[in-house]
Amino acid sequence: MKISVKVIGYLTKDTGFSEREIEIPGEITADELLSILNIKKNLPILVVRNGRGIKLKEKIGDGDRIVISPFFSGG
Amino acid sequence: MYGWTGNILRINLSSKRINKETFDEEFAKKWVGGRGFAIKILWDELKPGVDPLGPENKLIVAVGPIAGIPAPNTGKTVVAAKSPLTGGYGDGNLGTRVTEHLRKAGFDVLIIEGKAEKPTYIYIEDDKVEFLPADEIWGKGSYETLDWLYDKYGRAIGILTIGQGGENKVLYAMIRSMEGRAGGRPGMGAVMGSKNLKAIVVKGTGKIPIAEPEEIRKIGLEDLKKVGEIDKKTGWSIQGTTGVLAWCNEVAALPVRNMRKTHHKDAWKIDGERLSKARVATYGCPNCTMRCGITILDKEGHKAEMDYENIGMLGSNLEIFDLAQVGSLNYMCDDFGLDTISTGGVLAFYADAIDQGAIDGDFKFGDAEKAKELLRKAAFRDGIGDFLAQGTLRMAKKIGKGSEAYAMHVKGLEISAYNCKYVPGMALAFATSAIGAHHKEAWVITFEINETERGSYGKEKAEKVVQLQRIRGGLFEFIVACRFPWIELGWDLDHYPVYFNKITGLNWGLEDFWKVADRIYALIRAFWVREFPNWDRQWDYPPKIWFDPSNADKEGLIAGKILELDKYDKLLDYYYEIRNWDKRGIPKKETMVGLGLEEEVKELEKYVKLE
Repeated sequence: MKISVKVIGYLTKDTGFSEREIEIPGEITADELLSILNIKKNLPILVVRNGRGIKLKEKIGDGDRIVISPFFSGG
Repeated sequence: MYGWTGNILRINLSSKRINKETFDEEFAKKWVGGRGFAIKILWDELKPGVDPLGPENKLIVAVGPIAGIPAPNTGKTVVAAKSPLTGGYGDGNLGTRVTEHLRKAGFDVLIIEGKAEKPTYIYIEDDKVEFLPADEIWGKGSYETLDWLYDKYGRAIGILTIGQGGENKVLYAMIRSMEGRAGGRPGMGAVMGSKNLKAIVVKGTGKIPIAEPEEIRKIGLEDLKKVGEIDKKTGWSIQGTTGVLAWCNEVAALPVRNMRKTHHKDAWKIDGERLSKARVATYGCPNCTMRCGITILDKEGHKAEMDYENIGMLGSNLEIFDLAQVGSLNYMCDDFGLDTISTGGVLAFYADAIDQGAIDGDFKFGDAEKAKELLRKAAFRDGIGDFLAQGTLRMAKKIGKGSEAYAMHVKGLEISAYNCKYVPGMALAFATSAIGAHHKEAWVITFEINETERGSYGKEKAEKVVQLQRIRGGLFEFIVACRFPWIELGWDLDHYPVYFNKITGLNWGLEDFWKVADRIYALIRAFWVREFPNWDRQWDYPPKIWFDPSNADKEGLIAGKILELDKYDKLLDYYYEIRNWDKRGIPKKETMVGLGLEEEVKELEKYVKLE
């Protein structure tokens, strides 16, 4: 399964990239994806799947566009 | 009394008279500082209907008990006046060394009134005040003005100044300090300019009265260090506020083409990653260990300090996706002393009105060079610039032809860089902000998109807006401190009563702060209502175009989606219920009395019948 991942802000420090397609073994949770990408959960994180915010326990599957960002609280 | 000097310095520019006045502990506890002091003084001292650009208007410079103390992000000062842009209450805060110097000079508040006969700057050293000629700096940009003053007084001095935009009374001119710092979106710089006041320079040599000085010094410095460590650990300041641009683009909330569109394929060219890679320097405010002023070289080679709002409004909203050119527009706004958000909104509205055929002109979205030319003209009110200097509300009234619907402002203040055509809670936040459409008071958008059904209008959204207004528009604006450690690094709010109590010797909890915040919001609303006694709930509506089906995105994530007026009205009702304001959006009598505003009720009842 392939997903498209975009990582925003300081989280790129953990992942070493900001945007790429990655292969996943099957459906995984958002939380599992964060572990695969070595993203440390020092602060709250936002995960957006196909433009909609999701919880960390929610599933990610083939063809999804995932955007991972800090939980912005606004300038 | 600890925590406050208890002193107000009143400076009349017409008579050159100086008054040192005092306030008591009851006043201090009721209004705390910053925005609280500002609204109370403006309410008491300004007759409704005064010309905001006339000598009767007053410029308030106010700090709070935490301001200037070595503790996380306490370098901020509030500037306030009746706004020439909106006609209502206007304020803003900015990082400046004035914060610490004003307190060390022995004052919590400056009231500047009257009008100097000739261009003037004020030099305050403790309780000595000098009125000095500003001939050599009048007509200069804010960078050159700051350098001129640094040469005279050194860089450690506190300075507030204006650029040519303020001198020429551009209605969205701001007050500037320390290179990239700016505050007072609703024309506070124009108020300063209308008084022929180029700069306020402050040097204080005394001590700030603190109940537990050793203790606060220890805790404050430790916490400053801790905040810096969290920032380093997370890397927040690598992109600072600009990380949010890519996120807004992904969730279809980016301002593009006068907010007609919500995302753009070229947005990546001006995102936080590109900006961070182009960085040549980083600037920040005093007492800050998470500096967010990412600085790049603009097209002309100037150092331009950027943040998300600037890039969103001067970049994507104008469909300019060349980072160096966005930097140029940013630098020019800073140098002329114009608000980047309103400038972006004004230029986008102008391009849109031309595009719609409502007005003749040759400015098109994406034309960076023309945008620069127009920006310069606005700052000097040169030709078409005189029209642009008035802001979108007045421009739309003059243009007519239905352009009011896409004039992107609330109460006359241009909307900041979040496109809410399908984000109802954030639209409510803009619509109910105390100064017009500003993002600082209730940035509810991530909560809304991640924690709620985006298109819903439930009470929890109104509750969140009020909660954030109490914290961001209340607490941080009256104690006075920057909200970033809390919002961006998760620095617990419970730290703030600790600082406050050790400084003042009081024993307050967060609940005490919320009551002050509600009092301030009620009095600010009363100020607006006194100025506009035919007040009704439509003042709290976002622009019409967000409700227009023909404006819905044609493709992408929110294709076909818009705000719905009947549901928005219900959301607004929830907001009024939580605040215990009536259905017109006016605080009820019992609400004001419950907040200790008995005298203010009597005054307000002269203008409007209260429920």
